Amino acid sequence: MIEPEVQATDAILRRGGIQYVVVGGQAIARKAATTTRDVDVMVATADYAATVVRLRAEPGLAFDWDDGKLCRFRLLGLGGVPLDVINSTVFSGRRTGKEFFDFLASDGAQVVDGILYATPTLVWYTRLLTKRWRAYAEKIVTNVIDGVSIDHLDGVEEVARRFGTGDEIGPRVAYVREELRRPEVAALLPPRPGNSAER
Amino acid sequence: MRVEGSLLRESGERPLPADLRSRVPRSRGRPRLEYRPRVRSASDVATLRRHRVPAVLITSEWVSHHGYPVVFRPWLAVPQELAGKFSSDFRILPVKDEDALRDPGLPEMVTLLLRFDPLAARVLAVRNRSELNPNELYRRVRNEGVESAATRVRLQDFAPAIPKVGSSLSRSELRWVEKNNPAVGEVA
Repeated sequence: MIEPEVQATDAILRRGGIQYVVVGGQAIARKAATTTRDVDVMVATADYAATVVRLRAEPGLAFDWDDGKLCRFRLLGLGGVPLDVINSTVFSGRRTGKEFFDFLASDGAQVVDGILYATPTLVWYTRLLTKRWRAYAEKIVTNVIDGVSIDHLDGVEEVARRFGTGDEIGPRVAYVREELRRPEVAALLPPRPGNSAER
Repeated sequence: MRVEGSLLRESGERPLPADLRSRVPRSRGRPRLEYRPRVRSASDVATLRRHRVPAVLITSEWVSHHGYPVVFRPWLAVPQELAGKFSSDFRILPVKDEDALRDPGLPEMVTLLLRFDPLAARVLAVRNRSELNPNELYRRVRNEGVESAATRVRLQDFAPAIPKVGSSLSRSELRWVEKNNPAVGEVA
């Protein structure tokens, strides 16, 4: 089942011939039944500017702002739900934005109902690499409580090594692991082999 | 050794409906039959509540209706002493403050949300500020012992008496969270 917000986004982006991957909560929702309504999509660096121009002309979208790395629109037909278009260069570390997007689309995403969704590993990697990573760490804890395997944190560290962002990501992954060890959180983790924070 | 609680029928109360309880096999030497509440649906929870059993189903519909559109699998909140006694497909949320489950309103739900989704608790408090009784919120947070989670999302903004325990997310992070998921129909 495709969420209406994702469906609306897909229709707009397909119309414009824009290649994208759904990241953020809507991608996590494929693995854990927790999601908010906002939609995040990532596009290749080379496509970013053209995507923004094209979407600004879309009648079903309201343009909010663009800082060159992230551009926010609102889906007018769905009560103003935010649609964030993200430039892949933000997460590419020592490599190019194109390399990160290619990696995301080929190794870090799965096709569901014709739509490419990032895996939890890639969603968590992108979340922990933003300046608001502490707030996103809370979301990661909620994801684990909801059944996403903690093993994805290992994957996050692997991706960080690949793109040379380990210095930033390492302490943030450690922070999440620490959060998951808090007794009140640990008591809610589903009993599954991959969800022990002790590692 | 562990501490467990029991549901005892008081005089004048009717027993739980038969399809809402399962008999626990009697061990040798145990003095009486023991039953466990079996909860399979929201209507089972409603029936339990009619029988004054302190159980609450926390659903995404309730949270969405109060201004934070979200989808999650429901949690069945029950007193922690009874948590092991329920048989249910719902996820069980053991709650210290049994009284919070008697007639839960906004302060109680915000407090329970702190347990598994503190960001949702914050946004719910922001969007329902005028209806959030600070004294009640303070009391529930203290009773449940979730001061640390409350501090993380700065619930002192709504109930200043809540003790600060641990660190808080920055205001800019919280503003980002609040803006990211507008209530249905709201164009922020």
